[in-house]
Amino acid sequence: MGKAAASKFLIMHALWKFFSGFGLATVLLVLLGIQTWLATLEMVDAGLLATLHKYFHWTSWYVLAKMPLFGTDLKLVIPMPGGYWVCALLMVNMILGGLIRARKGWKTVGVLMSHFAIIFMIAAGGVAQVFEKRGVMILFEGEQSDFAVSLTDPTIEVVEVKDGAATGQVTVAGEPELRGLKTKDVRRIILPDQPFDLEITGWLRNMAVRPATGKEGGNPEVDGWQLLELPLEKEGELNSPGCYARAVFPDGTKGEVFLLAVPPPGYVQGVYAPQVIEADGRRFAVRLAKETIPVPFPIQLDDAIAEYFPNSSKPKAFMSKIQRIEDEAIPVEISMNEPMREGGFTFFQRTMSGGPQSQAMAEYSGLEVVSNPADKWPEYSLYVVTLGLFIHFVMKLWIFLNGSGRKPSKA
Amino acid sequence: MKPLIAILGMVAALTSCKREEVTASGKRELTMREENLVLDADNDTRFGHTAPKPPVPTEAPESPFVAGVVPEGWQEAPGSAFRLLNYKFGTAGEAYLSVSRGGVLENVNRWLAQFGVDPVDAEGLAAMEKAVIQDHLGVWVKAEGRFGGAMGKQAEDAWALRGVVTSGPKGLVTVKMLGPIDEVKAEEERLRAFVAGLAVQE
Repeated sequence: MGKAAASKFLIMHALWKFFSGFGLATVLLVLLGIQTWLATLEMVDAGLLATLHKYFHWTSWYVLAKMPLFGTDLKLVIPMPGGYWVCALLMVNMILGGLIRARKGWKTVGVLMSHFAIIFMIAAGGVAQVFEKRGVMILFEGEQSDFAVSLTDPTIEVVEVKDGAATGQVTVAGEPELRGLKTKDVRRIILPDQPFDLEITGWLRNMAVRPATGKEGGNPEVDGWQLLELPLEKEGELNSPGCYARAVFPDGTKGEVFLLAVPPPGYVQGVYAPQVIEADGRRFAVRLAKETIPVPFPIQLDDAIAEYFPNSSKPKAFMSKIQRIEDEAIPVEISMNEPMREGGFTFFQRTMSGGPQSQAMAEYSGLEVVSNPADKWPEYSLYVVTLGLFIHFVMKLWIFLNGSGRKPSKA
Repeated sequence: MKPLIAILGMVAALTSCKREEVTASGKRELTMREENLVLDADNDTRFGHTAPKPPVPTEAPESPFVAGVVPEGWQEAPGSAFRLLNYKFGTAGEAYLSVSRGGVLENVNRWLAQFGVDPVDAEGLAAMEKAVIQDHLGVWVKAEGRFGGAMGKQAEDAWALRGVVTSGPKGLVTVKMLGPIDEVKAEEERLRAFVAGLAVQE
């Protein structure tokens, strides 16, 4: 073996030992523990969503964690790798060390099963973060709906209208297209298959649409209205983004500037009326709204039932009697710990009309709708971990009882 | 020096205002969210009602009970989903019949809690004066003092409650009278006559 080859071998061997070693596993697990602890502390001031994004989103390659110095208001900033990537590295480490490098034989089958299941569980977390859709479907008694609305992610939706009604498919510019937008950015959103594109600017993560005040220094006025920037809310779902937009046509000309905005939480209609754009003799409705999550069947709420503990607004039981409308109407009851799983979606009971004092109001129910391809993976992995460890410990017990274990040393 | 300033200027411009292109990657089918689009609206229409509206109260359904006796001085008031029969009296007094869900004990305690009165247990409930509305059995509830506010009403001092909470074939049927102490006390006998006169709607 030549010197260069030997050197390459040594490097590869060192890398192999490093990435499959206990040392790396220990460091990663300790890092995850510290990150979880610091994120929990930071969440109090920064809010749940922002903190989860900062520490554990896949776009966060690194995180500047803030550790409070107890007894003072000071915080020590600690640079760390992003939690998502720590988990990814842990998964690589588990595959290399816990499966490939680990001893294999009938005595280690239980441990190997457990390692595999833990890898599966980490993978479930990764899949969920990338592919999970989560929204809320609000239904008043007697109403039907076939969509949920994301609590957090804004989207720009463009749909053609004919004879006053939407037609065709909805083109959606969502989180990937709007990610990282800042107020001064100008971003052109190319709309495939549509005779125009959109140019947006003045993005505000939380705003309100207000009548223009005429004061200098504010955001631009459009037909007597302007966007008023608001402080970011700790709870991410309370933020209402907005921006200025205009159409860009194939010949390079640009349309009039208009406002796009997500209404404030609690706005009954759910979305503002869209802006209409005419292009190539066709008409399109454009709006900014929290992401629409279509579900594959309409749901009708027949009865929203709420019970509260006596003399309090503490919920005792929430239940929605619904009909899932497919080829025929299928009655289903969804309650607090009894979700409905159907068509790749899980429907959880989330909210109910506002408490025992609101009985004069129309009754509604809020269902949390989750689409997650890895929904059941953690459950399956727990079964496998349990089985693997059961096999391992039973085997150890059997070896011990049969005296085939290590012989006692002679003193 | 000039090149350095130019580079710094370019960096500042690039970092302060990014121009970029992205392609909208999503397509989805139409949903009920695209029904009833308000098109060609001006900004006043689009953004003119930004304050959240409260949910629309449901129309008052037909009451399963009819009042055989409406006491003199009680004025009929518009009903609602919770007030199937609704009356006003005196300066601020009101009496109404409701049909809802739940148990007698919980609702008695909810009413008592509105006046800061300790809740009763099953034994306490059994000791209360019995009330009957047709086939519905329950108890009379009385409380006085500071009304803590409920059902959108403000808190009030020196108020009183008289009413019945009953349970039967139509569900939880209640008749509740609220108002200033003097006015409620003056109407108590009329309330009893009203309750006794309630009949099931044929």
